[in-house]
Amino acid sequence: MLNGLFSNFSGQFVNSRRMEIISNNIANVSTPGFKVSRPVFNAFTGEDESGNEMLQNTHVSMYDSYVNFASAPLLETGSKLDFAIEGEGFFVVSTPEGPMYTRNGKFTISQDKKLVTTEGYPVLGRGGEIDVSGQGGNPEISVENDGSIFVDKAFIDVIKIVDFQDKKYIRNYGKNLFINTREGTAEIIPENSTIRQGYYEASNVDIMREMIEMIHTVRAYEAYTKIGESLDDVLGKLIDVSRL
Amino acid sequence: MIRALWTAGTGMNVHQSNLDVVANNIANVNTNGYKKSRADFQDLMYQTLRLQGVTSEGGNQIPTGIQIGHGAMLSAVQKVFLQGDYQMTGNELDVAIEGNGFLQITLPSGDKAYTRAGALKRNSEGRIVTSDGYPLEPNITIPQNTINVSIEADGTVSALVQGQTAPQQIGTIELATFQNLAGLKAMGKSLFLETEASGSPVTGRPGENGLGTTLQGYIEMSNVNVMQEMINLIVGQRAYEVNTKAIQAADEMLQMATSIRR
Repeated sequence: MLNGLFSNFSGQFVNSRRMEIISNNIANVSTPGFKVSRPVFNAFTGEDESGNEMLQNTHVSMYDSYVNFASAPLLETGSKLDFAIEGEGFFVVSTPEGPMYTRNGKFTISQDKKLVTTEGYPVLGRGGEIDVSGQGGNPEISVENDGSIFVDKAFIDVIKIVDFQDKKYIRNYGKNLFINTREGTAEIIPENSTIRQGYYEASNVDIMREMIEMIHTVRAYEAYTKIGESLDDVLGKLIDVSRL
Repeated sequence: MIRALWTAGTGMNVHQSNLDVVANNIANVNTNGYKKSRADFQDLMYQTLRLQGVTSEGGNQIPTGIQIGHGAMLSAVQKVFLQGDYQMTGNELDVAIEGNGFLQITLPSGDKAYTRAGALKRNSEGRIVTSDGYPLEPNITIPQNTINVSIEADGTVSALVQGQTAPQQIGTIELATFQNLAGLKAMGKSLFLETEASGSPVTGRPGENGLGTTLQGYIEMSNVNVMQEMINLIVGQRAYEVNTKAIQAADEMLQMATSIRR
């Protein structure tokens, strides 16, 4: 009987975790370059002494959460420091914790005339940090589809875009950044990706989908609550019976 | 569970800031020389409940691990220095700038400020000033009994004084620009101030260094695009709404949890 309560509790618990992931997705519905996260559940089946599966002791746990890297719509701003990647890949950003990756191409210019993110982290080109000082005045920056940067009509560098064969180990860092958590995961250069200047990539959160996920989560949670109530009732009756 | 409440709360917060920015843009839809602002967001840090790549008890490698985010925050509100449309006024002291330059203004404190609102005026001493009475830098004084003032594309200001046959040159408008326009600090009154992020001003006569040329009799209107702001308003409001739904859902779940034991 108590086993039932524990299994039931595990179901309730994973759904509250799921709700947390959904609310993070919803909070980031307008975050440029944000990628939606999803939980993965796993059922554990209990076994008796001889190794046979039994329904008793079965419980569910949150086994995984993964990032869905599907691309999002590109929105036009006309601003010359907004960039979007059409296709696979990430911009590479140099941070104090090493290189990180982002799909948010809303860049700006730092005090020392480098192309940086709004956090001030330098954006990397194939030749390292990108100097956009130009000829002194307000630099005229134009970027071709292949990522070549021209400042005041002079070629400077090519914006680096990298991708990963297997994005399993690319995880969220916050601040619109992704981090590679496994050294063995090699960077590759995506072939068919192009850069568009004057655009940025929206969040790939689909509100409709999140609402449905949310309803599903709340109702599942409610069902577990009802089961919990019934189990509590049964236990109560049992105790009443024994008080003869 | 409580975390979901806070997370959705951060979502409401950023979209409220977004609406504040949009409302200010809409309020300035007819402000000469106004440059629209835009709010940029980023996701907050993630709590890693289980690291990816670790080996589980059964010897399997856990592919991605579990990460739970904490919502969103405002990362920047920046000015977008797109050119606004020009409006012909015919007024001889209206100056529009075709390019990236700014008019230089001396504030009462002696500091310099920069503006693209070129609706200039003449004060009682004949000086060319902004609508707030701040003089242009370098200072230009229009002589008494002037019939006509003309401003050339290269910034030369000439005045035709009564009794004379040829106009006389009375000064030159100098423009300034910055390496990083988005780093300028907006101080209100259509004025911008230099910051460390913008870099120091590069000054010169109109037409040099990509400063742009001056255009007499025109004024630069606000660069706010009403259509775009309306869309931002709709998106912002709906995003706010969906975050309130997440809070409601989390609240409902909490209520259920507390009602298990009657």
